[in-house]
Amino acid sequence: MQELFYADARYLRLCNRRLMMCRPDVDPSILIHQDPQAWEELLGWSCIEAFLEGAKFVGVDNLDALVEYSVSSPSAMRLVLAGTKFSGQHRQEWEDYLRGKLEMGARMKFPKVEAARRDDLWIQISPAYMLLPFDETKRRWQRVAYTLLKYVPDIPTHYKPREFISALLPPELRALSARGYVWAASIKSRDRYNDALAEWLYWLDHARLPHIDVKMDKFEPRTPIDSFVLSRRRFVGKIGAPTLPTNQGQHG
Amino acid sequence: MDKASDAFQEGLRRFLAEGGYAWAERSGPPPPGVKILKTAHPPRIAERLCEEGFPLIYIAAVRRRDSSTPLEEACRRGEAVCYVYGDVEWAPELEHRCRPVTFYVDVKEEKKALEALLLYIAKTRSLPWVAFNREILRIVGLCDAAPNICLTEEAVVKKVEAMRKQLTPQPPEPPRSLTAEDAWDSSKTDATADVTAEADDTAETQKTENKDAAAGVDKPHTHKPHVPAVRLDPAVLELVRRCCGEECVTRLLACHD
Repeated sequence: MQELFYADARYLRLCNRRLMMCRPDVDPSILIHQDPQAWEELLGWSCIEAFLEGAKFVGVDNLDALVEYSVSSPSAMRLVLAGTKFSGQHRQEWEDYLRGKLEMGARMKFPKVEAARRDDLWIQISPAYMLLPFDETKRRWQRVAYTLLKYVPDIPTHYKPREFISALLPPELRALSARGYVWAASIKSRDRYNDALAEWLYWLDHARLPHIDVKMDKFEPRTPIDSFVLSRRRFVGKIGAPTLPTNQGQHG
Repeated sequence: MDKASDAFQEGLRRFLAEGGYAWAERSGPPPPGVKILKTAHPPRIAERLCEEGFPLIYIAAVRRRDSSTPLEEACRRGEAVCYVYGDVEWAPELEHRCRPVTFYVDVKEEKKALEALLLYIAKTRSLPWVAFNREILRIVGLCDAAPNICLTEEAVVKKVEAMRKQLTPQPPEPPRSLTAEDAWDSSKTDATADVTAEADDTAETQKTENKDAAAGVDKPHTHKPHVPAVRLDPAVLELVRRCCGEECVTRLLACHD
């Protein structure tokens, strides 16, 4: 009788696992965020187990290896995660991603300060867009991020993009973050702010995305002006938001 | 023409049977899925061949999450990831003219199975890795096994350039006893020596002509240090052939000569 009970329990547990849905508290861009703790807290173990189930096929069997694999080959993750069921407020975003649709723009809206105007810069695409294969999205990259493509004509979304882009981007572009990510985001290119550029610079520096770091209270300011991001954790910035006093005297 | 296609079909059957794959052969077009090749031939190429009775062979490598669903069903319902290979891209207008045959291969259990299948396709169809979808190369682990095949074109070019620089002999340093002006002169002659050294043996006749022409002019430094002609490393050429294709090697050699 007891044996039967145990058999039933095991069966139920198996059923539960199969029915268990992934309910992420974050958008798919976490797949290029190299912080296992953020994965645990924002995705939860139901998602991680579902992801590991698919990643078994590529020889990944623990969270650290999964995070490493995902960050080193963002565009292959769509195939690894195929078949995963999602629920919750981010369900639509994840399902769209598995179908090959992803938002292009910056995920983080930085507060704005008075900064330079650089019409020659044009990177309006978030690093999270590397989750889709470059071969399929090349036209969009050419249209929306041609400054990046000038230096990296073929974004290797399938294999170690961070190493490769870091090696090819010119130092003067990387140096835009020297005054702070907030300053970089405040640079105007043809009347548009450069939030996506700041996101790229942050990701290249830390292999993490700023909006997830803000959620996790791990945002790393580059200069004192960046600390404003931390002090206004729930800041939902908009173009035309109140402008901070200039930091030119302090950091210029 | 029929014979050739049958040979491929037969070979594929043998390969699958010997490899211990679970597979099913169905007459019908391929299921929707992830394309294994970056670009297949356009459908119009197949039209004439189909009229001659040439069957179109497709391979669908199926990775299911739930192994209870049949391979074909899982692909059609979207419950599995299907990696589809075909020489010709399938189009609805081919339906009444062609005879498509699809091999559904189960690759759920082992990544190695998919890797072996890719290697088989590359070998039998003489395809370079650049012809394959790069995400699939990453999935099967070929990027880790041989990182060079996953490098992008400009990375390969950079690597070849770096190797070439390494192979090029450095100009010898001027002797310390010389004055600054002498050193400047000798460095100029060394530079010219390097330029001539880069030319291949085939340009020997041209060199002799130049020498004849220069013979009339008296020069203080007539002796040039012997620098061996630079040759490309066969390993580099093999790397270029694998990553950029045969045409790239031909171009590189032509440019080098």
